[in-house]
Amino acid sequence: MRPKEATYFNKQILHTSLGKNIQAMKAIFNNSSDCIFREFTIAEKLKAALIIIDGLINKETLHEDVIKPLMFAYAASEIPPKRIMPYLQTKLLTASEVKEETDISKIIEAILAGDCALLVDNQNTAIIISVKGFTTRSVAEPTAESVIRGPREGFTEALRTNTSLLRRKIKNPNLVFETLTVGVRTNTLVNVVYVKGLAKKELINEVKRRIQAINIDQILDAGYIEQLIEDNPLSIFATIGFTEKPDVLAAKILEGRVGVLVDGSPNALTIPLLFSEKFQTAEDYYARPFFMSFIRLIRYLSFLISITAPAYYIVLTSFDIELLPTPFLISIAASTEGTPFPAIVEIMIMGFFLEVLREAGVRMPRPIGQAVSIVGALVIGEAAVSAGLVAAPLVIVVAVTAITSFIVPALYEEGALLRIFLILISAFFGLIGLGVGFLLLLVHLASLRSFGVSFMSPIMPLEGEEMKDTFIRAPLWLFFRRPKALNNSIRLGKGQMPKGERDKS
Amino acid sequence: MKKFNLLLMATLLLATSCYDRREINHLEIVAGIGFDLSNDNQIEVSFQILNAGALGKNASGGLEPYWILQSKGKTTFDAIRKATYTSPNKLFFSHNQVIIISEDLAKQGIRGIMDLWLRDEEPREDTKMTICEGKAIDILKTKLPHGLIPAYEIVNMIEASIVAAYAPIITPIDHRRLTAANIPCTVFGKIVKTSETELEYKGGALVKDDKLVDYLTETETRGYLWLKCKIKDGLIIAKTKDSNIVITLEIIRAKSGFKPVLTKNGQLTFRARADITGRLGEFEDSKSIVDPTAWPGFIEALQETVKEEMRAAIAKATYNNLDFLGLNDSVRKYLPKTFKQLASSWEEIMPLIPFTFEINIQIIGVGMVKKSF
Amino acid sequence: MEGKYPVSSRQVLALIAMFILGTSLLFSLGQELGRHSWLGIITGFIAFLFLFWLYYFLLKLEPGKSLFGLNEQAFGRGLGTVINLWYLIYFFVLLSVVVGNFVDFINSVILIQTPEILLTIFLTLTAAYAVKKGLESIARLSEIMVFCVFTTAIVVTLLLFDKIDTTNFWPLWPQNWALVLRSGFSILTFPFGETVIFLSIFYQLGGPQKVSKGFFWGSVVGVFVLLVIALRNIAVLGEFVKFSTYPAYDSVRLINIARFITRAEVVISLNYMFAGYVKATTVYYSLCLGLKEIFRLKTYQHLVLPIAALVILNAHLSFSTNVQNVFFAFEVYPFFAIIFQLILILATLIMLLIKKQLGRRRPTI
Repeated sequence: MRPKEATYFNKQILHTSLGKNIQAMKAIFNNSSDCIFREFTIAEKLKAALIIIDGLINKETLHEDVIKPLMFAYAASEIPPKRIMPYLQTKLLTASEVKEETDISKIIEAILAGDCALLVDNQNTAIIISVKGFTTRSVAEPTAESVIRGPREGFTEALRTNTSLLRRKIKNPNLVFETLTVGVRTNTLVNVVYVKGLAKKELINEVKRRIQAINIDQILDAGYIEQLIEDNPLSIFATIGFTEKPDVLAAKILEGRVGVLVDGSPNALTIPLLFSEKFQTAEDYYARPFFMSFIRLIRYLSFLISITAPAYYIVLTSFDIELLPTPFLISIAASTEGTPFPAIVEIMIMGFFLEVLREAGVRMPRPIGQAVSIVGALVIGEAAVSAGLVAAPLVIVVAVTAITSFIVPALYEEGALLRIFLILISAFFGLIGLGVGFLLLLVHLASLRSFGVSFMSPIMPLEGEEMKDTFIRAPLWLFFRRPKALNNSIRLGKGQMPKGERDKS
Repeated sequence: MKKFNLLLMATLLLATSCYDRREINHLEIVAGIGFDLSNDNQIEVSFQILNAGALGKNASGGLEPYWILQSKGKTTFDAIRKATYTSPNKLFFSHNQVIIISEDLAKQGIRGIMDLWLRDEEPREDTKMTICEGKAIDILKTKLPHGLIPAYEIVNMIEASIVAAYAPIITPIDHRRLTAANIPCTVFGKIVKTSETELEYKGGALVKDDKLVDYLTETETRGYLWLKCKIKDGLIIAKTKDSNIVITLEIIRAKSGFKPVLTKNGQLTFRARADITGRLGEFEDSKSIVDPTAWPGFIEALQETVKEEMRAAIAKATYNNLDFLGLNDSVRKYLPKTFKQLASSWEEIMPLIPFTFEINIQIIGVGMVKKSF
Repeated sequence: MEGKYPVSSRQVLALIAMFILGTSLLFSLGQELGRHSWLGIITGFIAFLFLFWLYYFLLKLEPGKSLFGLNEQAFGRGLGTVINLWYLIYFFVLLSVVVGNFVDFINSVILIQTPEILLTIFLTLTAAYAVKKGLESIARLSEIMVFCVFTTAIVVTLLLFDKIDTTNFWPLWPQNWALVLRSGFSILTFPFGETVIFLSIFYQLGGPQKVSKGFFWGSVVGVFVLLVIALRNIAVLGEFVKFSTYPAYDSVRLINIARFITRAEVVISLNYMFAGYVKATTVYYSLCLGLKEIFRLKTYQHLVLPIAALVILNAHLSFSTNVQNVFFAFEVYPFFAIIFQLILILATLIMLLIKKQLGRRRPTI
């Protein structure tokens, strides 16, 4: 069922009488205060009206390029009414983008997007003149994906700014933005971005099909689109990626992915998403490969630690105690001596407070957020141990979990839930539970797909060739082909390994 | 799918009692176990148990880091279970590292202990096992001057014994491995309490059919270790024949052992062999020349020492059919046909089989000085 | 989920290897041979090569048809269905045995106090989850797992290097060759011959060439790992191999590197579980697929849970001690399994060939 919407102007076209048109328009805009009807005469003879939304337009452009030329165009009085509209467009209006429109709904759409509509008496067409101009946030460094090397600019909320940022990276006519409008009430502009020839046709069509199939009244952020087109709505894993950085989006669509830009959202969606992408950052490719490979491995390891550490602690202290080497056991036994709760309860409480602290830190303004973390660290960490409420090794485990979980921010949400799942299952079956939980996780991951691509590719199914950009980041001159799951075409010439001055004798 | 998830949840809920869960602080971690024979012929077990409260950094002083628990029962397991009568918590054996068996009990038989150790999944089969003179509880009660927990110190001592190479190291699985191969006798290490604060791990105890039958002297133990290729380190002390100079050789590498061979005329012989690489450790002679190894009778003296040690072990092994060297097993391994012929009369034949010796000693260095003064 | 099976030849390899390793990692194959168990494994494998040839021949004869389809084609709808139902019973028993064995293992060495039925339910449901997700997921999973199992087998062997005593292998040749053959026979039926269940899956995975390549190399990898483990167990435990219930587990318990890398056995047992999981899910999957095919259903999804219930009951009621398991595996199972692994396959093959000959001749008459 479609959401109900005022459909009374659907498929209606303009009347020839200016007065009636203005009346109709006023009714449609419900006399909203920001909708301005500027009535004037062209060449002191011809009645006309401009309809604009205040705040969406650049008033200077309106004055200079629209109102001024029209009002002082005395020559226009000699033009016969039939040819007046072409005449206005070709001779008078100095604005760069103009077009004729008769359909009222289209006109309304244009006005709402920040254009101005020029209605002329005795004409049943309107001229749409682009005078867009509204205040937006300027291009700034994204806070979520900060880098030391590489471009600092980030997407803003304005769609056009974003497309321009992207166009500046890829100066190629094959970079295509396809505009779709989604949201029955919000009429949000959505751009599907891809490089023609790199992204598979089926993929582009599938993305467009799913976006067009969306039937919702509002799209306030790219997240709405993401949740309405993803493959696995019941999985805790997000199978659509997002980025705030134009360079990242450029890299992804150059690998054959499709991007989705949503007006009003600084996040661009990238489709499809692979699990391994969550461990990649832009900087991996800008810095030299050796240390970055090492860091990649650390990220994988950190993720593994962050989801299994508390569960493994339970296994070691409550089930398979024989697994601990003796000296280790002695120190754990010494520090758990006298703590009142079993390990499972302790870890649940501490895990709960960890999430509370994190949430408090995120939601609070930054200065208060810092205070929260200090209080948390002091009270919950130090005091709980010295009061003998929790064992010191457990605090270490929770701290390690917290720190490692911040290393892969793209998997933070999944990680937090997985951690709880693994804690519960190993609280019941010990190491066997942990193992089986892990197996279930792997089966689940193996079954996930993102727009026709295996989510776990290239790990499951295994693509040996692509390991060079999975667990490590091989030198750039080794990336001959694009990822197999997307588009296996060649992207690098032969013999690109720099040779220095070796042959200069 | 929904139903399926519900079912899985239900199973998990069923399991909420977490049957196998145990908390570290609700367990008594056993560090060492001693077995004795009680006066009424029951098995008496003593445990050295960690006192976790006294081990931590902020432990209050005055507490001993361990305590001793004793109990007795009809079988080994019974005795161990009855310990919970007096213990505050269930005993935990995975971190038990040493089993000490008293002489009296060993003479009666240790089959029960062996069986329990291999059958139950909690105690580890690579726990060090030793036989002690006197009572095992006394060994566990010894207040060693070093370390926190005596049982673990005893283990360190046992493991360090490889440096001196005067005692074997045996674990339950080693023992069973030997019995499974039909080697009639196992040599256990022997631990002796020499004073209130001192223990000594030296020499061997012969266990036949899981019963203690005899002891080995130091020389015999040493010969046994040579023949089983268990000496990797240690010293060889010899005296040259004519000049009576004492030589001490430090072993760096050694490979030794024996093998049955059939001579040309079909006679079964054992060939014992040792390839020893060593370094001159000590050489007592003021007149010594720059290269002591050139001293007449130098190598021969060392060879003779090793041979003597081997001979002592062989004599003990063949006497009374205490075949702790595994002579029968080696024949079965390398000469299966011959063994089949001899199997019925093996016990009579064994003492008659001749041994030949081949000892190669290579000296690779004389140390930091060339001459002793 | 059903219908689309982009499974590569390497994934077939992994599936087969994991299937063969499955439960056999737990037990020592050819245990009755003691230090000659490796000979038993080799004998079993050589015999399996003949079976492999037979299976390959059958796959090539009618590509694109499952075992059940072949049976129907060979014996007609009526008799074919009866034979197919026998096969399903065999698969069902096999599945229960696999689940039963693992529950037994876990219950006797790791989770002693947890009730058996709970573990059975737990493991069966986790297998059911993977079956619901389809063969593709299982195949992908096994591709990773085979790496784990392979490297673990090698690493553990290296860690046990100081415990290895090569004299344990002597004398190299056994006295009793009859026992070697007998043991080889039981190794042929477990685990190698059990790959017969793949005949009911392979037709979805691609042409016989691609599949049988994976099949062959998978079994080679499987037998290689089995041999490494068998040889390691003998070298470490010596004659004691004969008397240990879980020799591989026992030998891993002895790892002790600087008193820090110790107690690896529980981790290793996880590895065994992964292999067993792949085996259980594969059997489970083919059981569902067979039922779907015989009863001409559109999908097997709604069969998964009822089968799980039956398996839980059967696995729980059939076995009580691991000694019984071993007795079943050696004394009963081979003679039961060989019917399905060899005799019925042979019969189908002969019938198909006869029908083909007749079909070819008929037009000329």
